Amino acid sequence: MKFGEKDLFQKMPDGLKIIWLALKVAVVLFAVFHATNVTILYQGF
Amino acid sequence: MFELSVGASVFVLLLVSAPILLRNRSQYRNYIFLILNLVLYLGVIKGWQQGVVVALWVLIPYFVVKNGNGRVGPLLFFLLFCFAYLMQYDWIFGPLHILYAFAWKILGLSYFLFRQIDFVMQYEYLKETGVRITFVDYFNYLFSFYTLLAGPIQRYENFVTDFYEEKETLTKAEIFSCLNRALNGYLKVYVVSGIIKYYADGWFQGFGTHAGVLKEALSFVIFAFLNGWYIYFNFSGYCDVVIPFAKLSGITVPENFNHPYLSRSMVEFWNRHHITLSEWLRDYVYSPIFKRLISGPCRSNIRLGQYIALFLNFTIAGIWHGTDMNYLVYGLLQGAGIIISMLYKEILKKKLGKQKWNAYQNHTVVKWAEICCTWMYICFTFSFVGYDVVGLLSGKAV
Repeated sequence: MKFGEKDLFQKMPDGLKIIWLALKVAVVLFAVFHATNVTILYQGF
Repeated sequence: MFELSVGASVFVLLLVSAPILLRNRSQYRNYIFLILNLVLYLGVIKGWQQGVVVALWVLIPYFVVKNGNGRVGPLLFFLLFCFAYLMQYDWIFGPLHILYAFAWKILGLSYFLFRQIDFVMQYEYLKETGVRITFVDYFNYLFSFYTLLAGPIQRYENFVTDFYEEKETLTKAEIFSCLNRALNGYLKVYVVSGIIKYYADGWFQGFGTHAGVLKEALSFVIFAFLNGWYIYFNFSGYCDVVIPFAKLSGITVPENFNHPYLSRSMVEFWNRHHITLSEWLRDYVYSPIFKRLISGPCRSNIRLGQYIALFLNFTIAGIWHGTDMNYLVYGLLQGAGIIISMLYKEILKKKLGKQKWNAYQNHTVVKWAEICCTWMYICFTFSFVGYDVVGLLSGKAV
């Protein structure tokens, strides 16, 4: 039996999946606007 | 670095809107994709000069190869020359930097080049096998907003075949899974790699302020390890964003990473890291050089031909990654690492014999020692990516 985040996510009910994804969006938005200036590492502009 | 906030916002908007617009199988799907690709490009273009350069860069190879006689050598030479000029390689013209006055940098140039070489080299084959070739498809292949910024590198045949292929409707679980992977990708880029980058920068800037050689060396080691992880999380995170979003739009983008830091050798590493680049280099750099060498100067020593071809292959890969001396050193170190890794395996195999070699290979300690050594060497070579380590070692202030 696998216990990775992906496996647990697949087993979640849809409502919980949406909440889980929303939480991730919130963390990413916080990071983008308040915590980091890191961007996509791009080769050969 | 992709530092344009307008471009980043447009990119997110496209990622979200494309699945809605491209999922339908209408006859105008390729035109819709073309418009989306144009929206991103026009969102980041700076001035009309860039527009002219991009237009020429895109149009010339298409019409030359279409109306040509099948000889692609001069066109490839022209593309490579223009690429070297537009990229403004520091160490080519050096003090004559003024020559770069008309080298307007264009977004996506590196990946354009890869795709164009594939298109040009495969054109006759594509025509013979009846693969669909239209300007719209060629344009979408070059400008696909999913892969324009940081790969993966697709092949024209795969791209077009996949684009027009009938796809099964995604289930709810698959859609959730795609969204989860994409958000994990964003977390990797903006949170994990962001935190690691912050500390990597700190350790790099602190270099030269520690008392004693040992402390200095240790600080460089910490920086190199952090930078290695930063590159992995940033780059693989980007792929984790675009691959599932493309899947939601009915487009297959090839996988580019497969746990690269668990590689036991440099050869294995390049089969797990930036996989599409390795495959492209194998087909268009390594194989032609190797064939030429074994049919000429290395006829009597195929192994030597293989080593030389690999060394040149990775040196060229390093040069492609960036324009200053750091990337040249990075490429040379990659080439040297691959050869050392292959020699180690070859010599040991010969010395131990088949049975002992198999036992040696299956030993857990050996396995983890090899993984650690490969990872440390990779981190050391990656320290030349994005940081002026050559400048640092030559005494230039950080």
